[in-house]
Amino acid sequence: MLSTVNPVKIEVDGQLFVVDASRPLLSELLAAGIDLPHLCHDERLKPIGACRLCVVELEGVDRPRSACEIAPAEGLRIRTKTTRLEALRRTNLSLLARNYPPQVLDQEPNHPFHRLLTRYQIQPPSTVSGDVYCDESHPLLRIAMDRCIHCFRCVQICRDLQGADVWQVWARGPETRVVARSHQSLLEAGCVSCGACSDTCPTGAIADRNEQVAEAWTDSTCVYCGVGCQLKVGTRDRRVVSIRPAAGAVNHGHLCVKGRYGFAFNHSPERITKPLIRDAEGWREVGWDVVLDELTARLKSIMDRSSTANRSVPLGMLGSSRATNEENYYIQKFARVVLRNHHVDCCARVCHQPTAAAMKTMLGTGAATNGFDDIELARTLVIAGCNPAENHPIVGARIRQAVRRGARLIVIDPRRTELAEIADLHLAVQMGGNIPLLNAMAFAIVEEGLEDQKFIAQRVDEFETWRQSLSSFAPERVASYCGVEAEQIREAARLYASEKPAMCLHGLGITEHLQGTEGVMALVNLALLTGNLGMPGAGINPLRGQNNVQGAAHMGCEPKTLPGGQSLDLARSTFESAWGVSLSSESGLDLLQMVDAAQRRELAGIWSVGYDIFLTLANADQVARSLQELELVVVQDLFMNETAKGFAHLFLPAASVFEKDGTFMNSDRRIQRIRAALEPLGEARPDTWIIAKVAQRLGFGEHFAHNSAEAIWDEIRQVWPAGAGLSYDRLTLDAPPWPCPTSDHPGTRVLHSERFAHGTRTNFRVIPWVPSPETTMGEFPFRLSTGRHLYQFNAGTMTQRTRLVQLQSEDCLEISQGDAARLGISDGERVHVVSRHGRIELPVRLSTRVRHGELFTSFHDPALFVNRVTSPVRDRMVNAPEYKLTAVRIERIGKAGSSSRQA
Amino acid sequence: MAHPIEDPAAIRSFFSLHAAPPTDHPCRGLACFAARACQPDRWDAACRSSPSVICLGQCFEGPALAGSESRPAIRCFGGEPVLLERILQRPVRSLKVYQQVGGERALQRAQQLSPEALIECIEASGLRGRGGAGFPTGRKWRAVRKSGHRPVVVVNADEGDPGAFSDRFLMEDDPHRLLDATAIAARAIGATESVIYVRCEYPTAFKMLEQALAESVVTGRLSSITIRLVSGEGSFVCGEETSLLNAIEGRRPFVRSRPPYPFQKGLWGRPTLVQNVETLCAAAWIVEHGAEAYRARGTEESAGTKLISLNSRFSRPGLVEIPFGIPLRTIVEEIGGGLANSELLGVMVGGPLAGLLPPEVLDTPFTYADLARVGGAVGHGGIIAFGRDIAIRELVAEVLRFGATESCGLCVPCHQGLAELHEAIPVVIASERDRREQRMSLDASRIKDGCSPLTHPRWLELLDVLELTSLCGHGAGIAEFLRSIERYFGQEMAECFQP
Repeated sequence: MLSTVNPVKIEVDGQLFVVDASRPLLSELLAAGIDLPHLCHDERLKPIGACRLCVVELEGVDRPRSACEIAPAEGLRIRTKTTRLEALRRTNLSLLARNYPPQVLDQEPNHPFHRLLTRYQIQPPSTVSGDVYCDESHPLLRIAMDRCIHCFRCVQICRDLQGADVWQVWARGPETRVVARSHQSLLEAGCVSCGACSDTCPTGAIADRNEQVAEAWTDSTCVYCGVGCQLKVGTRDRRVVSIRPAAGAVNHGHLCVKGRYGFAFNHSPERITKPLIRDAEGWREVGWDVVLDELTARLKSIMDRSSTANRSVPLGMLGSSRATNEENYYIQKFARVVLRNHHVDCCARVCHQPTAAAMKTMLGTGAATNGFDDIELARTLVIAGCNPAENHPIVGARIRQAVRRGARLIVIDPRRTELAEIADLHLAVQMGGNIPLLNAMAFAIVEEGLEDQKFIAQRVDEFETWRQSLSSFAPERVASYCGVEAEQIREAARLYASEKPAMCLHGLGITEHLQGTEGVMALVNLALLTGNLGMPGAGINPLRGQNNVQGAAHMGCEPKTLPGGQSLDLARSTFESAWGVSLSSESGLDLLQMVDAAQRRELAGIWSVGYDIFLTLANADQVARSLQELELVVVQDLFMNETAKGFAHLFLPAASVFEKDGTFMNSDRRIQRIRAALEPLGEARPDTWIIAKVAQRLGFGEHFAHNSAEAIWDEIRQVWPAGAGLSYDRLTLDAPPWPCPTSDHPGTRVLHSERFAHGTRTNFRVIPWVPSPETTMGEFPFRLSTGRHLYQFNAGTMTQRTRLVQLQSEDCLEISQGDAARLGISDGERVHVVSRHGRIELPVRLSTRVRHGELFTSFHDPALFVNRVTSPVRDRMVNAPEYKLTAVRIERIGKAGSSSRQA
Repeated sequence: MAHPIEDPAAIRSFFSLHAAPPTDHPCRGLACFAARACQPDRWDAACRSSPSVICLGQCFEGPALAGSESRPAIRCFGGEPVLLERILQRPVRSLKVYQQVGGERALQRAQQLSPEALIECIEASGLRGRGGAGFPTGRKWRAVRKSGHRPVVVVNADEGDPGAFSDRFLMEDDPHRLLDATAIAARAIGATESVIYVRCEYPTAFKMLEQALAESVVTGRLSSITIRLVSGEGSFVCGEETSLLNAIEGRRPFVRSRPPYPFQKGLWGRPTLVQNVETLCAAAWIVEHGAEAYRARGTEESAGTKLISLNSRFSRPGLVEIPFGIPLRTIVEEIGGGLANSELLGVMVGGPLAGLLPPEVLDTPFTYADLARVGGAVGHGGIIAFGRDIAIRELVAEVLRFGATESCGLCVPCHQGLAELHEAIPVVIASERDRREQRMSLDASRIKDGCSPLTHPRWLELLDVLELTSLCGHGAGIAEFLRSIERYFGQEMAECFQP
């Protein structure tokens, strides 16, 4: 977070200090190491002055004042430790101990309140306190409100950091107490299980259920979504036992349920901790030497054959967003230097490759133009095709708080998501209707003369051509294709164009379509049209779904891209001289091309690092047919995933995020460090170790001879000019966003402010509308979209092996009440969902979030295998699957009739 | 589904009268407690009544019952009236009469003056806030004006101090004056919006303001300002300015930590002038008649006049306007005519958040500084006389009950400290009564569960934290009261403490 530092000199107990006048005195005193007692204070919250323990004496003022309520002023002289102050603190503490259960002091001596009671030698009398709130049903939180000392930190943090407003204050006077909304259970009251209340509670009245006290803490970065929350990993007895938020610039000391509680996968009994080779008998545990020799031999054989045939090695490398930048750099370097091909890709292909392509083409950089701090600067927020409240919860919480402070909110989403509920405008676009909707907004802005003429004149070409292309997109004309009323489209257009700065955040609801790339281009058109670009509080900002999906692609795990997001065409010679090899001149295969090539038997193998392609690619049956054709499938992962189970020959056990050093790149262009908190489990090894060993055996050891993640990073900085200034020691809680070319460069928070990355001017792009072949005519009357929900993550590899399954484990088919009634389906009933491509079985959930004729399901459970029904339709520009629209029908199990016949 | 940030049920649970304003409730205010001997049954009913209603502003006829429409005797002492100018004889409720008696002159005069001139005029008058804190009014106006963008005027018409009924009758009998005074203040600070927060224990005052506002809206005479009326729901602490702001915003009325002060960030985060009814009415008079005319009354430090409310234990109860500076003795003996049927125990001046003053200090002049010197306060100008039929211990217990149950529950000394005292003292009284009646010794077994016996050192410790660390004037004010008990009635209190 940006803060103005306003230094003033003050005297504390006779000692001089320089402090920041813009922060409460208490915060500054604590930062200076002065041990002032406090209980209601939390750096994440506004001071409320409840506990009255941080009282200090100001020179010339008789009545003591609370340090949390004082803004430091030049020359302020205070005393913090007089007899009178200590007596006042002791009395106030004794009041808090009046009805406190004495036995818990010995049981859990480390809570701040317990430490203070010990320090002031106060023993609570054994009295029974009155009526307190109880809830024993939450799987992650343990509630013991007989310990509540009314500091109201839980109430404040739930309201002002998360925005769930679960904790409420009931009654007044001696009856005052903290309860969950309407005295319901926490989950009924809307708890999103972020654990902020438990993290801030100073007594253990609200605590993590079964939490073990950590012996050591390691600073790191969250492994889930692309927000990049900073956290502390608590370990004990060689296990992760706790995760707590750190005051990172993006998360402000907050975490979501996944980051905070989703760590137990690390020591799951299902972790693979020894290398495996599959033979006729099945999987066999072997030592590293054996597996590496085997892998080397097989690779050599493939390489020799291709060298005889004088073509690039037909083997694809797949990087991973779960892996670090350093590891992804190694993966692509292995492909390019050892295999001498460009057959390298990663899962960014299937989520934001359309974004990267669209933004690179139009703006010159395929990354977010602004940062998360801009959420607080924007007057209007457009949330397009993403559901941050569940999928990027910390960003969702920041958006919610911004809206509470008065920001306007437009949500473009077929579903009535949580943020849609608080939006000024919810454009419930029909699945597949993004292009007509976004073009219609542009039409309305131009027709109503709301465009930013100055910005266009200075920076954008092709306005006239583009304007003419919009003529068939009048809101009134296309409303029925978008499923949004024309007036709503116009309202949104006016808001976006006039309440500036307006910031757009988008997700896979825009990209995972036949016209995904063009959808992002349509968003960029709108930003160019209204001048919402190149300034704070504006821009086009993809929300990355996974921790390092930005980094994986940016490190060159993409056929046409070299590390640093540099195009192969332009940067080839730089890399050839840096690496001392010549790069293949044959174009590389992307992931979907690899799948296609495999089916044609033109690819011999795939080495997939941390990527379960069989489970997660659309149209799984076709993927299976391809993978069966490969002579070598190597899976490098924590778990025996679906790709490994079905197709792999070798399994290489990888180290987890808690067991290695390196960096991730988050959605707002920050490089953030992860640090090993534990030794790798069993014989698991970091991806870099494994790759280096294989390279060595193949005679390329010198290219992979780094002795630490930092050494690899330093090599990356040498080949990526825009990251050159980002040495490890600058990667703090508030790491500078790239571009950051030199060690004294402050980083770039807003891109394109003066010029675009590729020049001073850019063009509007004409975007025609090409409807998806996934039509709902005839037998397949429903549109189905897939996505994630709050308590699970992607393929469930991690979250399904944690306590989060107790909150929600099964994928459900969300259907509107009306459709369910029409089909005679009841809540919880299991049905078949059938598309032109496959069939799955899912339980039904009646939902108010989806509209008539549309369905939604999450895809977390490998057993349900949702991608058996998704289609082979791909983005027509970058080869990414259209996960967000499949025409389906519903068939009731064991009963006559199907939706197609009843519709 | 999206829900309001604060649970409406939780907010309602804060208020004692959220369901409906009192209809036929007996009053449990301290003036009615002082007069309990006059109608013991009614006082007993008040003690049993739930919810309990604290101060209906009928202290001149205590123990009071809600719904009475009687008007107190209204008088002026020691010079020409300022505040009671037009209502000494009869109420001025309709706009027509208001205009006939020249009520609009102040507003007309204000419209001729620049905002700066208005502020200078109020500064020159020496007017101080009549809500209790006595902050110089002109300085406050200037501070709000300087704070900048979109300021708001909030009228604190939550006259909660038991024993005071002056604002009630200013609103009931002269409602247009308050509206005009609000418009004048708004003009001075540059506001176009205003909220008047009226306690629900004063339904007639609310009704009169509502009617007056409707008349003004119809005639368009206050077109420069939007005035909104908000009704309280039964909470003493909502008279505290930051709690009041939260109540208006529809939040739980927790007191807010300062800074930021309301003049910086008040209602809806905007610079806010919070001013009580009497202050604004006096300001209107000052604008009309000039600062000098006002300064001519009262003393240098406490300029002008003050409304005082005398409770029913006085021989001549009622609402009286006095110049600052006359001795308390004049008020008690001459204006109030001394106590009817009893010897004076002491007078509570300025409500329960200030000291109980014994007969020995009656020669103290009625000014901010002099009253503070003896441990009293001007407060709202409520003056409750207690007769010797009341035991100090019982009065202390009643004040503590009031203090504890009205605490917003935020800060430790007020929330927990008052609770501890409130639990301890009645037990002492009960045990004492038992001992007296049954000749039993006071032993530990009689102490109620959950209540440790109160020792004198503990009492002093609690007084210290209440006085020195309370977040707002509620806890600190109760401490002032307890200090005066310690100072003047220590002997009587001593029996309450365990050795």
